[in-house]
Amino acid sequence: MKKQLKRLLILSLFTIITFSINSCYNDYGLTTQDYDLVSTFFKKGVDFKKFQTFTLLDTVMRVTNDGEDPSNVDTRYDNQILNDIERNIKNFGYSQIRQEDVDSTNLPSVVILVSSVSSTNYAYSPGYWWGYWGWYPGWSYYPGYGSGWGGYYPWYPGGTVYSYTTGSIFIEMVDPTDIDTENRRVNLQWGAGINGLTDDSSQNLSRRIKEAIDQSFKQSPYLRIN
Amino acid sequence: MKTKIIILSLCLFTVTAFSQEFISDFTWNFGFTADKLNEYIPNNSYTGFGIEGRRFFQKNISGGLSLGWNIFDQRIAEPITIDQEGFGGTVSGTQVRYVNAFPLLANLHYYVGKRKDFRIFLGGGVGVYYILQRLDLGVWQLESNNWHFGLAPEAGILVPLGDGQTHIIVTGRYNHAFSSGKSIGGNEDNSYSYWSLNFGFAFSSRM
Repeated sequence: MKKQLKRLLILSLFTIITFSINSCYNDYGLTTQDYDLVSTFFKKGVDFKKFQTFTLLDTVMRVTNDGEDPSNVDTRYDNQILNDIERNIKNFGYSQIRQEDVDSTNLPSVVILVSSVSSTNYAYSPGYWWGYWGWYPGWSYYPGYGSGWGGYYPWYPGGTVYSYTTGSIFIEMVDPTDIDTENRRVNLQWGAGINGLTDDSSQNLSRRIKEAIDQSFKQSPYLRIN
Repeated sequence: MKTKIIILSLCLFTVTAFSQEFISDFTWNFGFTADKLNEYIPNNSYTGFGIEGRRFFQKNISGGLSLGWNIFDQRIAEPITIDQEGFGGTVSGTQVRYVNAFPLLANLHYYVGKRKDFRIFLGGGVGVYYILQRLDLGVWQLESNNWHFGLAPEAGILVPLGDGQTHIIVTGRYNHAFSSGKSIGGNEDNSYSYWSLNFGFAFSSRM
């Protein structure tokens, strides 16, 4: 009896040690690219075919932590990001009205806003919005806007989105006429969040940004109007 | 509370009752996901083990305790579709899904056949499952770890080798851990089910 218990104990210990060494969480040998994530959201009930024109604001806004100097942020990929978005949205059939051509007689159906976060543990909350986008003169052509406005993100629960330790790009499609004056909010029609590790070569990062932006449109076929 | 009473009763009964034979066994456990667990991880598992002690308190009936560990995981590239009130969406990226299940069960078995011969047994276990559910999605990691009440009907065979004290043991068990807590997706139904096919060695002795 004792001998058998001893044998069982040795076998059990051997197995437990083997299992523990191998760990209960296999990492599947993931590469940097495997951590890239593309999330897209859309407001239900929107007929995107009613939108024919867009304006892509020409600045990738940097969302920074309090006290962080935005000028320290890497801007090498901004032009590529804007160009990749422009190419995709044009492919979906939208006509562009350049930011400098917008006036009261030439208003786009939707405005595309691009922002990025590249800081650590940043909590991205809806309240940030007007502070970053209020500079766009185009808002003044629509009635009702003023200070204290924000974007409405029903898909971001609890007022806080994520904590980041990586780089993220946000693309937001706003219909400036779809507003909630009582709560002073602009309802977003579509949004994309791209998130990934930034510890990579410049060439790889550039390729991954392009692929992720393309993927955000590919997985949003309802945006297509042509 | 009910679980504790059942486990304690079985333990006390097995300790105090008159015993004829004691079997200890060690098994390598394969897992086959079922129901909701199969939706989360379709893959089968070949990593798992169990240890068990059984004491006979009647000629053909044993009671005992078993402890196990089943590991399920799968890398999945399929996008996640989100359908909520007011908005919908898609999340694409590499997911790695994990479930680690640790059953701790009090068992009761009925045997057909003599001690040193080939024996078939039927029975089952009742007890608790500690289940760790994890989803790695991009750089995010979501976890939900809960204790569950569970049941495990079981059937198996004991095949004696040479001396009649060592046996090959093969068992099939259906594990069902009742819902407890919330899944990582916030789902109220957080139950888990899986089949396990267990192979190993059993050591028998008279006490």
